[in-house]
Amino acid sequence: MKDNLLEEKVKNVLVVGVGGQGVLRLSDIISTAALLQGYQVKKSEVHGMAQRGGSVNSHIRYGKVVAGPLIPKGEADLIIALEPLEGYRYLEYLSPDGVIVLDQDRILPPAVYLGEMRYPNVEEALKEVLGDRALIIPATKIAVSDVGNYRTQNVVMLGASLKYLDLELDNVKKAISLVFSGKEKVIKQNFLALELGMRYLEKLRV
Amino acid sequence: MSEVLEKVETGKLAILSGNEAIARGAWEAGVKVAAAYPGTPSTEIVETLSKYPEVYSEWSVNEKVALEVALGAAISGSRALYASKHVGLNVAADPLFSAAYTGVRAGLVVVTADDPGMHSSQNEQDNRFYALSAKLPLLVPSDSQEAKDMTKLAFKISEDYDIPVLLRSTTRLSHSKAPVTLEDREEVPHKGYEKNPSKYLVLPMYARKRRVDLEERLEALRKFSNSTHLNYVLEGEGEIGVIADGVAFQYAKEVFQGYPILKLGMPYPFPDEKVLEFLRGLKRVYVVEETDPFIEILLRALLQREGLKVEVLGKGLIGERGPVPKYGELSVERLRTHVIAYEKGETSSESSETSSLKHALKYDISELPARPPMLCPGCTHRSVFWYLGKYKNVIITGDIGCYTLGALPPLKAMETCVDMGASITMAHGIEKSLKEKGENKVVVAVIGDSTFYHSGVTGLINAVYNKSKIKVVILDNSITAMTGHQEHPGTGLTAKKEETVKIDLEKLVKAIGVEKVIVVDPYNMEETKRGIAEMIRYDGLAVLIAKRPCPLYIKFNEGAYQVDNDKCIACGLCISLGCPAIYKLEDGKAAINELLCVGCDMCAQICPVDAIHPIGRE
Repeated sequence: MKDNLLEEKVKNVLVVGVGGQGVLRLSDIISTAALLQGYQVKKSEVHGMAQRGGSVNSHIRYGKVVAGPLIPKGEADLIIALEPLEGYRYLEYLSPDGVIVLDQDRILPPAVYLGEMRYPNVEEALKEVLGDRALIIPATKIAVSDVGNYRTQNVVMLGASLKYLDLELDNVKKAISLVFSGKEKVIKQNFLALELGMRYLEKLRV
Repeated sequence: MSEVLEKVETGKLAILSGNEAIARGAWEAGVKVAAAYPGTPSTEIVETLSKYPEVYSEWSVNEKVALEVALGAAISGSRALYASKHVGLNVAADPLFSAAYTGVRAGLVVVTADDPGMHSSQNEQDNRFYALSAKLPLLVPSDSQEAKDMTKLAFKISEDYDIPVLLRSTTRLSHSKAPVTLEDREEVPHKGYEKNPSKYLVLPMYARKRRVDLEERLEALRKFSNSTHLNYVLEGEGEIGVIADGVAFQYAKEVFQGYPILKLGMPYPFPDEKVLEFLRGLKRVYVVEETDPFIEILLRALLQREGLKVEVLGKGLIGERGPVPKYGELSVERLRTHVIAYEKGETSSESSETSSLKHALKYDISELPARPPMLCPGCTHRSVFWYLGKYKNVIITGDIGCYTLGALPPLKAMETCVDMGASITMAHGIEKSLKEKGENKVVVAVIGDSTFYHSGVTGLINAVYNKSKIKVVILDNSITAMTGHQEHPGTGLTAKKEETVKIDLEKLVKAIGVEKVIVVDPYNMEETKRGIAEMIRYDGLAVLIAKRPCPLYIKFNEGAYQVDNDKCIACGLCISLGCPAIYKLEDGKAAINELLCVGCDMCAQICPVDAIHPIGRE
């Protein structure tokens, strides 16, 4: 077993988004990478009805010893939000020094596209409260224009979140290969997406 | 996912969901036959088993059939597994109760996956009570490793005591993933069939003897329950203890750190002696469980029997209030807040969960635009609901599946949904009832293809036989879609993806005696509109089959459409389809999200000014 980067503390990562965006696939990659790194991993998600365009979340917890499968409110070290409104919706889970990484592309909920409600400016509201702890990434744009496959949006987001995960790049790449095993083209695209996400974060941080 | 994850073996360690772990445990225990009807959160159990070549696995048409298939396999010598969601076991309750009498010969494990919090279900019934009423031993794992280990042990218990074993999972266990140590499969010799009518034929004269025998088996199981390692004490200090089972045990461990905890992996038969030993020196016991007070009731009965005075704090019965929430899924924080609130004597506990972060936010989280699940872009059901919803004077009864979402705005074309198959039978009842009042209302039942084979067909036979004039819409997307695309009798493939007979829905409906059968392509708006009008006008029972495969399953994508903004007159017609790909701009005109649109063409067909076209093909 590799030396753990984490000592006693459990790493809590919450992935949220809209059904169909690849929330569950992304959490599979993260939990597989954590296992490859020698951590104990627990992951929890919801299937069925909620997957049809609804709000979807996946809890991932890893470390030396993990008890329950759910992250308590106020204890998520990282929230990866594939959609900004969904990131805001789960904000109560964020720990006092936690980081939230959001894709800037909005998917309008029914009440908004039917013209009954406005989509709140959640990006600005988050920046106001969290400052540097809220990172906004044009992941869908990068996935569409630079990778050429919008489905890799989730892995662009993974790249942009990587430094907060305490996972080694090698293990993350191995996990991507395992989760998409047999699909060489998809693996290649996702490696590119990962790289571009990491690069964008570096740029943002300078 | 399981095949992938099993490649991640770190010294035979794999991350498995509770469901994958149950499947793996059954496989390691040498299971030969598995039968189920798909239902969240249980589906992946038999789906995973179907990938093992050594196991005959099937999607049965419904849960009753599945349990009878598994029982048949068990009494003829093969270890067998049944799996369903909690409400599915209601359908299979008939064979379940008698199977306790007949016994099993080879091991039979009945897995029920309950859904506290109703993530994807119509109720949150607690199926542990089936153990009590059907008189079966009950195992309740609390993580993936236990799920695998207990499934293996369940087969042994089933054989040792000649009785089916009920194994209870919950959504949180079924869909949480955790590392599990993998072992090899143990081939258990086939026991073969042996004729024994006095055991397997429940004529009253035989059944009465089996009933007495069952009592003896339960007494032997009570002794086992008192000695098994499945029920153990986590040492702690003080005069306050905790009893818990399942995932609730994990929460109890975090909330009640340092307290002695009795973990019940086998809550039934209730391990009375072990519980009494645990209670020694305790003044108060918290009972932490999901969803109903099952252990709590058994514990209170035991205390009454022994004349013991130990304070029991759990959910309480009707009219009582305890520190553990009476309904909904538990979590560490929910349990903690409720216990603290109770001890402080507060009356309401749900609202006390607040954080400083929440107060600092500009928008109240509870007032954000909701994101309910919806029919997917390109969903074949959309056109049918869009036209049906326009008939204001009809009653529309619905059923269980993705299409239940047709009830939500803006389509709002469904008024009831109770259980599998109830669309047709309740429509029939409504029609007969209103006739008594002198009203001849048109009642339309909407049901999916898989649900129709499950239990819709019997209701339709009943309607034909009893001179019903109801209208039935069968939404035939040629797959069980909601649970993640499982095969069924109309798909031409088995659970193991072998070719088989494909039932012709139209012929089947006609053979039952339905004279008016209309078949439409739901992607053709005009045809769908005319078909529905013809069905509703028809004086007698009529069936409309809207036939087209689920676009998600066949990965339908003809390329996205776009709205010509100059032509658009902002009439809102396309918006009223409730397609997640279509949205309203500030000026009221429509636009299409090209990442979501799959090009089903429904909106283009109904646009009055021909403003919607495939991108690049104006």
